[in-house]
Amino acid sequence: MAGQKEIRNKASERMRYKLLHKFHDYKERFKTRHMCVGCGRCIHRCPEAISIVSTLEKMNNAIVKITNSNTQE
Amino acid sequence: MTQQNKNHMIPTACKIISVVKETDIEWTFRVESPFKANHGQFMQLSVPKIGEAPISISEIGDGYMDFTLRAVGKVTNEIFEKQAGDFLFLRGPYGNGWPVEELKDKHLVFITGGTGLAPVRSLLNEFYNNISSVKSVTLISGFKNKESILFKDELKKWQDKFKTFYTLDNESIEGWNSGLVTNFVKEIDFNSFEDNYAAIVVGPPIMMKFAGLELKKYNIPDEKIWMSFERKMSCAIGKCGHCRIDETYICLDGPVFPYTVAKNLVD
Repeated sequence: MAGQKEIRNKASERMRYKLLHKFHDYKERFKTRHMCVGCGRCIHRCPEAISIVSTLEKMNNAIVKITNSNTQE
Repeated sequence: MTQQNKNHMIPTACKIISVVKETDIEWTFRVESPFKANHGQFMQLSVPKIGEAPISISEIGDGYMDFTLRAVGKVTNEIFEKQAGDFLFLRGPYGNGWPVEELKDKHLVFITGGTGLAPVRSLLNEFYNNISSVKSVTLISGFKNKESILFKDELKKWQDKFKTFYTLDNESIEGWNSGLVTNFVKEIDFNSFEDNYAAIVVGPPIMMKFAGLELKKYNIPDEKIWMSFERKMSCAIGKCGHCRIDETYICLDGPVFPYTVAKNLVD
């Protein structure tokens, strides 16, 4: 952006942005399909060996946990 | 080639007509262009082998367009090497511009910060030349310091037909106010506009946020406030998702949004 400003400074913020793009926002906007086709190439490519599958699973478990705790109240 | 399989990413070489140096790091390039654009849209400017950058159109004329840009990065530094007669590569125009028809016959309040003046400059000039198409124009324009003042001649010209408040953030020079743009919103008498007005806010994200909050203090309805967002669009055709804020693609849905949408766009 102008003035060399960064919107997302931390790696975690960028990871969140990427995940949401691949698995939520794109489908929400274009009403077609999720952007990720599930080929798994990103897992092999990642220099830090971050698996997108386990990241998604972690996120999913967190969502289940949150919704469960909400319904119990 | 049919329209359907046209490659939208192919730019057109356009000749630079003139270069105006507004400040040391902000220059206005006037470029010959065959494109038809609306006020507030943006184009993708590129230099072969270097890269591409989204730049808003700061003036539309007969067969030419103006781009005001600041040398801050790889592409813009390279563009600053160019002079009149050289070529710039353009594609576009992209995005939705200002709702010009909707703004006509209204009292308009423009609040701009720094380079935020560039996306509204063509609109201001349009209303300056047809002042009868609007009820009144109030322009609040702020800059950081006296070195960063853009469009000096035009700021002077607009003073005869518009009500203007020009301000510098933390400096005071003759003929200029001092302080942030949000301090001048209280000078506007919104009651005298008889509910027939619109406010246009462009600037850095932090300035737009506080200008929006300041306008809300005067009970201005959300749909009367318009904002133009700045994002680093990469493809500009809704493929890459770089300019996305949640599920809103700034390049397709914006960059101009009413405050009803804009207030929820928090990144």
